[in-house]
Amino acid sequence: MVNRTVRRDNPSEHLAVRHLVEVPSDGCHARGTVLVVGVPLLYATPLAWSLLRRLDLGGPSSQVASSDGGPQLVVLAGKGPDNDDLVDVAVGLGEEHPKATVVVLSEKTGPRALKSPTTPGGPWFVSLHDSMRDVLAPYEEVGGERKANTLHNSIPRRDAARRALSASKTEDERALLSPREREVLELFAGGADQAEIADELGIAKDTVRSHLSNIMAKLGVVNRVALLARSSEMRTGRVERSALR
Amino acid sequence: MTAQDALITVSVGCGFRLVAEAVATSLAENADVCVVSVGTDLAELTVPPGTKEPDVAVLCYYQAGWDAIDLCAEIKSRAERTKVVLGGPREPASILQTAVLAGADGFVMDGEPVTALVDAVRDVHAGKSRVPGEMLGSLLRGLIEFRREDDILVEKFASLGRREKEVLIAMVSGASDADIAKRMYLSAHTVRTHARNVLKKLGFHSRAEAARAVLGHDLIARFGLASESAPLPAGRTGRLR
Repeated sequence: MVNRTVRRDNPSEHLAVRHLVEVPSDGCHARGTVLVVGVPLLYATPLAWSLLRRLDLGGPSSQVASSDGGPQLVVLAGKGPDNDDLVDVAVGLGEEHPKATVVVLSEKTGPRALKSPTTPGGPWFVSLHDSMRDVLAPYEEVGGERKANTLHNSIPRRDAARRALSASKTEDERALLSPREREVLELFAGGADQAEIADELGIAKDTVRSHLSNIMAKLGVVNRVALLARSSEMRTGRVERSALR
Repeated sequence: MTAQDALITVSVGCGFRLVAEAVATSLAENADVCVVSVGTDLAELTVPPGTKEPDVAVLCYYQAGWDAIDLCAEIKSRAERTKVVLGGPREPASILQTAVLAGADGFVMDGEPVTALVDAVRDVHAGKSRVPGEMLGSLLRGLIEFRREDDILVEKFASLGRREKEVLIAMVSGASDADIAKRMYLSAHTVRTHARNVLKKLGFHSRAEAARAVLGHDLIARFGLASESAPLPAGRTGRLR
């Protein structure tokens, strides 16, 4: 199973990082166990706590929920190039922990990031750009009775609608770039040459070159130095916009 | 001293809102910590006017492309009293180095447990610096190296001619040779010659290398030179003709 979480090339190597987080009872929530995959330890515990409490798996009345020691919640974060890679891993983790709810934290925004579970009990998708408030519990109390939330995928729907509304006013230039392009740009701005970027990301130098040309085309800059200047402008906002066109 | 004063007020920033909120919640579990703002950018982290700036800003460098370093510098320039703790990856070591140059007071490796972050918040609030011991050696070596490079670069930069400096600055801003030529009333050949001489004098092999050094060492501002990449105002052109 562990093999399944490691891809052949290095971009998703982080998926091999696993933390089992014990969340103690805080009086109004039951204690629980969360398996966090692909998240550095510093953020794993906070995410495990917040998401478990937010989703309220087990609920206040079910102290026995985690008696078998397995996790109720599996959280998987994707730094990978595509959600599809994560879906494979998520499905595998779901098979490994059939009792657990699997949540995929996706870096993507927009409709592609927000797939609803395709099978009952299939993985949920939550965008890392969302607020905890937007993460809805899969259960709700109706007249004192716990009831499965009929809109199991209400997170995707609501967010897709909200994003569609706000998409027209999104001006962030970074949003133009794909996550991979952002990675390339960051390494490039940090002083890496093409060979180093290729090495770091585990891709061919020609791929780096074409990423860079695509980035330049998207940002409307004409040469690599202008790209450097623009990337520092994107970070500081100090350089006059008109100057770089 | 009121109860409010005893609390450490904290801002929590991360490129991912979900992570920022989760970290903020974890920090707020501690009785001596009070989270006053959470967000993904400077605007969200800024406390309302009239409110005291937070004691500590915690910046989590998790999302590729989210610039925790510039945010750190920005926070430091706004409120000197605010201490900054950066959470970030151990590799590359340059992250810690640039963070320290930007004024960060503490660094927590993202492989450390969140309790380390709480300790770091308390440490920097008490006026101590906090850098993981295992990273201290490479940090000091890196800073010494940076300093050495800086001295050499400043000396070389000062040796450039006025027009050469102008060409370099325009070049760094991303202008093409043709643009620079037009703006400075030179031929493109002259621009190229200036550029070649600049690279030679500074000891660089490529323009990108030069641009990185000039930006990385903040030479334009330090030499009091404006980045005149915008077209020159009409009044200025007389002298150049």
